[in-house]
Amino acid sequence: MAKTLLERMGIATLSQAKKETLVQMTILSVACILSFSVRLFSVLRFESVIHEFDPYFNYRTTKQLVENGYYEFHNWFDDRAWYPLGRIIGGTIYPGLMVTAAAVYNVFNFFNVTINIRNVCVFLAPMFSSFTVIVVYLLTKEVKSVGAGLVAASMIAIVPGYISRSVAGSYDNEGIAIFCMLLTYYTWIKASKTGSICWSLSCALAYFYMVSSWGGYVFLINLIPLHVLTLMITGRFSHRIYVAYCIMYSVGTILSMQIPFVGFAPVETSEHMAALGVFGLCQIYAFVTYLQANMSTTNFNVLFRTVVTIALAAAGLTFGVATFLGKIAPWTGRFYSLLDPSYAKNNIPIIASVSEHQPTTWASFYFDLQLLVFMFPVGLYYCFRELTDANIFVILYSITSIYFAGVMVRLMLVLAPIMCIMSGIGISTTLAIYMKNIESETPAAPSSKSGKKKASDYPIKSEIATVIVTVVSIFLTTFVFHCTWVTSEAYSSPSIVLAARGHDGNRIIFDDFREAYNWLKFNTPENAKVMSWWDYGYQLTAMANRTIIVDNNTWNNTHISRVGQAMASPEDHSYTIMKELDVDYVLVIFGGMSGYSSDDINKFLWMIRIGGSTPEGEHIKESDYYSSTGEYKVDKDASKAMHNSLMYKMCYYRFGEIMTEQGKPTGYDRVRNQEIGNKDFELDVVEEAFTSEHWIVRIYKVKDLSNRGTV
Amino acid sequence: MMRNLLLLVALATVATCRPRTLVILENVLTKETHSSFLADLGEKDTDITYKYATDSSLTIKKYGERVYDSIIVLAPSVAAFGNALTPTDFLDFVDAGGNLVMTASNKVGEPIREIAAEVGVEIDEAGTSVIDHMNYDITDEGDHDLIVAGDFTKTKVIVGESPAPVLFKGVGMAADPENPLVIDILKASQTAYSHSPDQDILEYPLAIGSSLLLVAGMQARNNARVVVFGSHDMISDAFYNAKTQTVMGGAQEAGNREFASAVTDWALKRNGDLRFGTVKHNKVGEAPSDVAYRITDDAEYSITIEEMQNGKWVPFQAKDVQMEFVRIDPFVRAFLVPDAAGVFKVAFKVPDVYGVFQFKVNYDRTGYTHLYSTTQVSVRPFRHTEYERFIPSAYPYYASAFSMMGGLIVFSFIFLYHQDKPKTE
Repeated sequence: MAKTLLERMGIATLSQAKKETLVQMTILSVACILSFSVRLFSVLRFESVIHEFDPYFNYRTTKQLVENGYYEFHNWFDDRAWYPLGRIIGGTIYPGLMVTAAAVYNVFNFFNVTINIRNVCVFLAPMFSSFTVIVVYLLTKEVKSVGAGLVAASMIAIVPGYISRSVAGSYDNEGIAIFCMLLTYYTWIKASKTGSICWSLSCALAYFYMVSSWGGYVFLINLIPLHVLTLMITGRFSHRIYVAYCIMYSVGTILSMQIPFVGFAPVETSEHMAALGVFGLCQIYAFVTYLQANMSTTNFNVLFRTVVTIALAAAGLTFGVATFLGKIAPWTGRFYSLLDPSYAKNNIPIIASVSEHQPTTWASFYFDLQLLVFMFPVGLYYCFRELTDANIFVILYSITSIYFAGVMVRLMLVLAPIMCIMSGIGISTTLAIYMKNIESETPAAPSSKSGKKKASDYPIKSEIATVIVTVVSIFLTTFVFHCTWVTSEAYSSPSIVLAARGHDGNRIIFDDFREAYNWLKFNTPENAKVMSWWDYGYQLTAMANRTIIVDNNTWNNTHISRVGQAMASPEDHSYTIMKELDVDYVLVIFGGMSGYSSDDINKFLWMIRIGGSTPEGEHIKESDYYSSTGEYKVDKDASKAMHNSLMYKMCYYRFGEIMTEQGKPTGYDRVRNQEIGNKDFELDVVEEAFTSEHWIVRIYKVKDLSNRGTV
Repeated sequence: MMRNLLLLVALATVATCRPRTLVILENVLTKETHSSFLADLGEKDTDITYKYATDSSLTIKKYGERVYDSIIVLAPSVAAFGNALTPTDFLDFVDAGGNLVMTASNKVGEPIREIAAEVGVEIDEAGTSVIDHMNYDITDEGDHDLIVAGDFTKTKVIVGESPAPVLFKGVGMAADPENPLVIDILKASQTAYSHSPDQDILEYPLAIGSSLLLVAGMQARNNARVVVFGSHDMISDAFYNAKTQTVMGGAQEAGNREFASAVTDWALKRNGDLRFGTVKHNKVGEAPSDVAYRITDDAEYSITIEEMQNGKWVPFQAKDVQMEFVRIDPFVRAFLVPDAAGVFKVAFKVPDVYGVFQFKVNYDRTGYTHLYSTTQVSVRPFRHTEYERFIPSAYPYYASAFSMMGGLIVFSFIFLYHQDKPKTE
């Protein structure tokens, strides 16, 4: 039957090479389609909207770009965000994502395919994940073989670690940045293999695209020099590498400096110094090799030692002076937290408060990568077995990224592709070895005709091969099921619409956010200023179109700290802060009623820490907010400062009258599993304006001063 | 359609009509005893309605809107208002922007006391009087409670240019120390105190000396004005026509009539009421527009302010009006210079800081309406085309860059096309 089908399609008559190409193309396109469609859970279950907090801002800027053109976007001064400081959008974002989306939109519309910009944004990440599949195939093919490439490509299509940031509706930088990063690696490997100027320039351009789309480009601009340096040390440095790196670095750096947000950082900050140093080292190395070829050995040695000593001293001195004069930017906090996981936690609350910046747990490695965790060392082993320039690159990539992924959950994203590549190599090589053994059993006679490797023959060779192939197949099957399950359950529930299962197993939808934002949009004056914790800033501006005090772009610590102080202080003190910031409405997220655990009371410790981290917030001490036994509580053991803070009062206002769970007293907080301690109180400086259906969003209006002067 | 038209007509009538004043009288006699005060009131361009305090048709609110602009209550000892009006109704009236004038006496009733307390003025207990053994009038009957008071507030807009001392016989008041809005219109002299004339002094009086208020005012945050006279008699015909003479000084005409008239003018917002009209701001030499300012632009700001003087809007003239350009803190604070038409102007340079700024005029002077105008504008940074193209101090760098480029081309030429001669020979 199958044969006849093949014959009917005319495939049987194709040559062997063409058949292979056909199979490859089929596998690759199926992987692409799969990678697109597996990311559509959230759209199918909910609707085609932007789902997360941060992407709302990207969506808003993209709209601006599409409506007003690039220059308006580039010069956009956003007076709705960060009231009253405002924010220069053009100079403080990586524009790659928006420009890509706008380009896609314009191309479609040019051909009269009328697709609206929201849908472009929603489906951009799945689309780019399809492109990533192709790039991973090409990259692995360069490093190992076509087979490994196909396995790696199929894996990257469904690996949860990557899906977590690229589902439909999560319109974030990472969605396209991973594609850009792998494209740069691919072109880099091509360039270093061929030494051609064309590939080096492609690499520089890919690097430029990467820089324009994600701050993670710093990883890339350190990894490539590291590769070059390793090649130099291992004596593999050649003219090909010299040409590739010099062109890539100089053109790439000049291009990257065209992004306003990056500016002069590539020549000033210490994160980029490694690349510059290696660039210099390349020149010296080439020059030294040239001298060595034209001088006698003794003369050369004398010259070499003198020059190296002087150069090292001069370099050290320059570095010291430049750092002292502030020419080289001090090591920034985010970078420190990469090297020392406890640095941020101890020093910069704002960085530590982001859950993405927490160290990764073992469980999440398995959750996000499953089978790959075990197959990764196998691939690494095969890479070490036959070292090439390209292999060294992927080895370096895998070792560095596994370290960084251990430091910060968010960098799991960088690890996922190399995990796929390594596992692809591992699985493909294993299967290639053992598949041959299975085949060798049936036609027993012809296999012995080569007779070269008698030593590799061992008893029950075929049985072992069968077992191994079966086991790998089972693993691969479970991997597919695991990935689909994780995608469906964990990464496709948008944070804008919450879903929970009721006790009868039905899906309950909490649409409180949009309910509240719409209330704000239609019931408050257009220039009303809304204060909330920064997590909700982007959404508020995009969905409610109101001016906000702080948002997710956490660039001004003092301003955020001021908001933290307002939330953590007693009412009368908060009032002066809110008046200073011209606040009209205050919005809090409260989960005690619905059981939504990432609410403001759980984030409150961060507000206290950040609020207390500036001189104005001296009165806020973290220890005051713990109970006498040193616990973070909301029940009657909670401290006085906790009970009197504005945040506590706003969250639990009138909550004491509510019965949340059967068999529990009124005012029972379902997140903290405590009965609140302060049930009966009135608000003096704010009044309740709106509470959403499940009490998740509560909005308060800041009262005016009393008209007749008496309180 | 017809109904809409009627509504429009009604609105038009309301808009053009004169301010409405309700005078609540204690009884029939009040019209006689206070005829001069009421006659003066009649000349103040206002439509007056008279009602008795216990009148069952007494209404101050209809369909949720106040139906008068001002209420004058000449009923100090009323125990309960007609039509079940409570003190809260009067306070709501003030909160809705209406003005209120009340008189008290040493037989002050509970409603008046409650209203006064809510506007930050505490009236002493019934039966007490303000007693002054040094500054009593010579016609006093022995209790020394008919006193001559002359410690007026310095705010001319309330009490007039140079008020003459007035005769006072009534109850003392004290300002609520928590309330910053109370104005001491007339204070008692250093030697006065508040107590019942017939009883021994066993406890400390409510207030003594100059903390004892005889006439108190309050301007609410919505600019509604309230005045409480401690004496119902001081605005009566008898006091209007009397002379003042203490044991110390010579006789002179009592200033009651002029004082009462000035204070009423203030209370009815015929004096000291400010309003602002057009607020304009623009870049120097350009027409006003909604477009954001750019940092270091030269900007102009102007605001038209008018003042109510004796019931007429005239251009306001003052030298102390300031404009602030605020982003949390004021970055620019400048005096506005008025012209003859009351247009206050200032030109200034926008600071070199971007953000959302407000033009803010916050003119808060005792006796005047609190003038508060904010206009929000954005100040944006330079666009990418607005920076200097060539910076003079960077010429050496330009030179080095271009010479480098030139050098590279020359070098490439030589490198590619030069051949060593000696080798060929």
